[in-house]
Amino acid sequence: MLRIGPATFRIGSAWGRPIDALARLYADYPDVRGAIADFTVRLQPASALRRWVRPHIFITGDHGLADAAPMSLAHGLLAAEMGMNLQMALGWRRHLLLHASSVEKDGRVLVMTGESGSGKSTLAALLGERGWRLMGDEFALLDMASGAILPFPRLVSLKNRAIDVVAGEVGAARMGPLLRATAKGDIRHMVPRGDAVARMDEGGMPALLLFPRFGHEAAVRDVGQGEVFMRLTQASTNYVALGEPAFAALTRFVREVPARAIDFPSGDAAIAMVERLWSETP
Amino acid sequence: METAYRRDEEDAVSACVLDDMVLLYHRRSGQTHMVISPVPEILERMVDGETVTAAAMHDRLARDFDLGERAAAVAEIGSHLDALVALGLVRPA
Amino acid sequence: MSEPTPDPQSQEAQAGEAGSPAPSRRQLLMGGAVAASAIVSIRPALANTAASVLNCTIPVPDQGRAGSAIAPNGQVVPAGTPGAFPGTGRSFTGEQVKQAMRGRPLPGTSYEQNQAYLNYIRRLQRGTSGFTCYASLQMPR
Repeated sequence: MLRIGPATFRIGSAWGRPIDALARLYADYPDVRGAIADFTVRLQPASALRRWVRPHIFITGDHGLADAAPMSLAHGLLAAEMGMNLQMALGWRRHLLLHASSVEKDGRVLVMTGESGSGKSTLAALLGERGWRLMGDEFALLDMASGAILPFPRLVSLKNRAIDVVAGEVGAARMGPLLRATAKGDIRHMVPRGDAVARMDEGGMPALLLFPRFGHEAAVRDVGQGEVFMRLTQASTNYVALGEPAFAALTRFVREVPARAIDFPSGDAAIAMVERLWSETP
Repeated sequence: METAYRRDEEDAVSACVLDDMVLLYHRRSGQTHMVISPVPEILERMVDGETVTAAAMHDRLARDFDLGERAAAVAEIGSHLDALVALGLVRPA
Repeated sequence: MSEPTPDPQSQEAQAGEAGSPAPSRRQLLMGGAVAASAIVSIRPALANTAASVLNCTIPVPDQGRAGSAIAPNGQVVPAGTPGAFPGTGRSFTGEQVKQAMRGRPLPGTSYEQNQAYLNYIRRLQRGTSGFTCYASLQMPR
């Protein structure tokens, strides 16, 4: 049983290894044994034989996708994480979900949205080690009544080169196993700092929205409100399903939160740009 | 026979003006639309329950805007009204 | 009840004669050109294969760099391209837009510029596979 922010998951698996990995990495998370789970995630073999012979994991649970591609047992930890993503993406209705990372400082929240590889997860992890509180790297939860962003601090999924950059800073104890050659390349998970876990129920008002883009010459651009709105609806799994409250919440967000697109060649350059933009943000 | 259009209470939209476009949430369908002129101006000048033709809508708009040559403008307004009908924001009368 | 169509020229002449700074009437239509669509709807895409949903990416915003322009068909083009409009840096307050809707001109914009911007948004929406990524998980009502 695992609680991340407002959501509780029960994770079942035909194999012990992914569960052991999860237990180690989430060891400092709240103990919610006996609680009622919002979602169940199940890692299942395709058939009885497939449990043992070239085992392949099908991710299922309360919400599933019938033609999901199977994953290897070696990537079981990733499968469990993706399973939780899937439950949230398909089933969460209490908040507007944004595919974005978020970090908090002085009660105000920086939200970063963009593709895998844009740098939003890495940036969030690095900022989390530099005086910011990590709120999440995958989903930012927008409270439709208050306009606040709520935390969803899962293991941070780092890919390829970002792995070494971050692992060097946080040390082995807070890093998961290296998962080679997944669909998105090499992946390693990072455990959020103690304060991020301890404060997983503390939200904050969004103050700045960034569209990061790693691997380009440093640049900052304004983004029109119409474009921001359109991209955020694309980055939301439940905007349509939530109806008018989502429209009100997202339009409020777009009108009240300044947005910039930032390009950067390196993590250090990105941090500097973020800190500068943050200090200039009213 | 001119096409007439109408909008009823049930067609109501919730509007949000952004700096570069207008967002409409259509309550009946749950759909969100991003729109630019002249759509917001046309919707503003429709009255719930009343029918209006493209020509009449043209004349309402012409009080406040420069629409250019009349025949072309009426045709264009008709196209916009047809687009609104296709989305369910306006009905054929 | 239809009113006589106001003659734009006489209107302007009257405004000038009045002496006080009357707002010039904002041009609302392209006049003669084929009506372009002024609406882009938020649509969930058809569900993609699950594998792509689980592994999906929302592509990088392919917005032009500062100083790029937007052509009438919505393509991002180099600044200074004839017929193109400045891409970024437009920020009007909601109040200015509302006033524009009441007939006062939106500073520096034209109908064509608005159309170009919407075409840009439309292209983004069609072009980004992120549209079929998380959007594919949304069920239409």
